[in-house]
Amino acid sequence: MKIRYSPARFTAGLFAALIGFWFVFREPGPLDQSPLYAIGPLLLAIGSVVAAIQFSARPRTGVEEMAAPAEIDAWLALVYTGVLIAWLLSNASAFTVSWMGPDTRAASIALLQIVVVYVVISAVLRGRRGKAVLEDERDRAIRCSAARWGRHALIACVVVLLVVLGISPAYKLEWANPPAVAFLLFLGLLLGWLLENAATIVYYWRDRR
Amino acid sequence: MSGTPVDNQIRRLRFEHGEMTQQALADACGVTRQTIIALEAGRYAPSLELAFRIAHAFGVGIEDVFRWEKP
Repeated sequence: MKIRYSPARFTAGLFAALIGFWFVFREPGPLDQSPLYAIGPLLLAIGSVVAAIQFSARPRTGVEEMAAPAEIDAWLALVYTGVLIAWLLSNASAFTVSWMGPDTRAASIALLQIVVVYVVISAVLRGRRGKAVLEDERDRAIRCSAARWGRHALIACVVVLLVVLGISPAYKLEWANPPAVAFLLFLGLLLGWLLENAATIVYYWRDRR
Repeated sequence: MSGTPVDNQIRRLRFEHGEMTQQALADACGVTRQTIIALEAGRYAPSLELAFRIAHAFGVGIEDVFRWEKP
């Protein structure tokens, strides 16, 4: 079925996604006690998918002509990694202090939905590109250089965590229960990915100058 | 990925081949259009395989497309 691009539907999807973002990051309120607690991630998911499908039906734009597919992917990954890190930091207590409590369940569902939205948008973009070349040797060279930045950031995070856990006196490490350490390692992984995508974008930008 | 000593004649050859578009050349060589843009601007030195592909797309020898400029 051929989908026709409609600016109104694209804007509505984007607007719904933005409201979803606001719900995800807002202060906890009475809504969280009801089954409606998932409304934020749900709006984010539906809005993003609608916007992505509409975007996929849109005629090619100047940005798409200018940027390589791998660069657009890096932008998307950068935005979603940034959202994920910001969201994880704002909900850190659900994964550390009240581990396995009701907050953790709600937070895990929201986290999963953010990841699913990213996967769906990536799939829609891939579908839009059809049989076009998505990556060539220049993209691979840039990805290889950018991956070094990501790897170094991850190593730096792990070393900092090792030093903190290794040399701090025991009474200062009461916060360092296994979920908290696992959370910090996961955050380190995401920071590495964030830096890798940021480096990819910088390499493309430098290459265009 | 910038400031390469490999000079090329891609732009001239494209125009000599019926004003072939960058996208057409990219499709013929299995790369993205952005890579052809980077090659033409002298910001990227291709691999040996891609150099052969480009030369083959124009039906000329590799030395007719690329020239190494001693730094």
